[in-house]
Amino acid sequence: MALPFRVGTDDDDAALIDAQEAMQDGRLVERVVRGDAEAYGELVSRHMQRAFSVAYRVLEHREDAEDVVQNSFVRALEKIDRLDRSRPFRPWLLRIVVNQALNFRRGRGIRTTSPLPETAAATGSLPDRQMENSDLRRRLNDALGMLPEKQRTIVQLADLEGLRSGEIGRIMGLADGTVRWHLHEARKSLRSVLAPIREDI
Amino acid sequence: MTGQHSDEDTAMRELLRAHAPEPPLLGVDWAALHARTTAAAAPLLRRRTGTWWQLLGSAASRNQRVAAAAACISLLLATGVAMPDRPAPAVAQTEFRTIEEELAFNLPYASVPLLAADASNGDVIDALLLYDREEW
Repeated sequence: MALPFRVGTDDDDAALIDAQEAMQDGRLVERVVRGDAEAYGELVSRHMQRAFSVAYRVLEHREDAEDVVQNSFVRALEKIDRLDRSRPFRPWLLRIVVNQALNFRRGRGIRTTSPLPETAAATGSLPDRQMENSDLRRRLNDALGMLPEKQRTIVQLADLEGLRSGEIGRIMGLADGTVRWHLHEARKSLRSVLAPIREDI
Repeated sequence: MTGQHSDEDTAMRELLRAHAPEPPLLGVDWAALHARTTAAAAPLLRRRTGTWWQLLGSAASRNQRVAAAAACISLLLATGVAMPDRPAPAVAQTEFRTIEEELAFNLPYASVPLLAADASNGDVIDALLLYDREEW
């Protein structure tokens, strides 16, 4: 399909690409509803990495995130008849991923396989810059951990995954304005914790 | 949002991106994950493409006794064999005949004068007497 020529901002371009992808997803979803395994496989390929990335942000554990991705795609297939076809597939899928990941996290407690590098500070063998980064990483992790679950997820989706507030709203089941308010509050909390060591924030 | 807030937000975003643990995208065996996921979904997809007799067969294989029992009950209900006695239809209870019709029905040989348009009361009385005799 020929694209209309347009001059716009990056946001406009991103929205246009999103719309195209949503249309392609829509066609695949139609085929999946009829039991087309090939279309389902393509849908999985298209969204697997993003789903993993989002699950990993919540769980910080690779194998758990992989399990959540698999379960989420199967769950999505079970519920696909309930998907409003006029809406994009990705936020709907990511909503399932986020819910599954949060449930998984609540069920298992806190566990990570990517611990913060403590050895540097303990041995004093790394240069000052690396020690500073290590300290910053620990404080940042602590600060994120102190945020309410909803705000932490919003920060992760917005600032780390780069999703826009509208999509985050659809994923979390919140109004766009509510997402922006939570994001503002979360950043304010993070700033108050990190400001003593980072003047630029 | 003010320019200062915007700058602070950008700085915060960059700080988070620089120091939060990145998802280990290179450590994932994507082909294996894809295969696992599609394999787990295969039974659900087959259920969507199956014809009604395949679905019926698969349901029977899962629980043949339940399916057989359901089929028997359906058959009995359809043929009415197992249905309890039902009361007569309401229309039968409220059906009524005139005296002339009742007499004509029970005394066919007396029906001609009774059902004629010009039947007299005498004809009716005669039929009634006859009916009485027949009853006794």
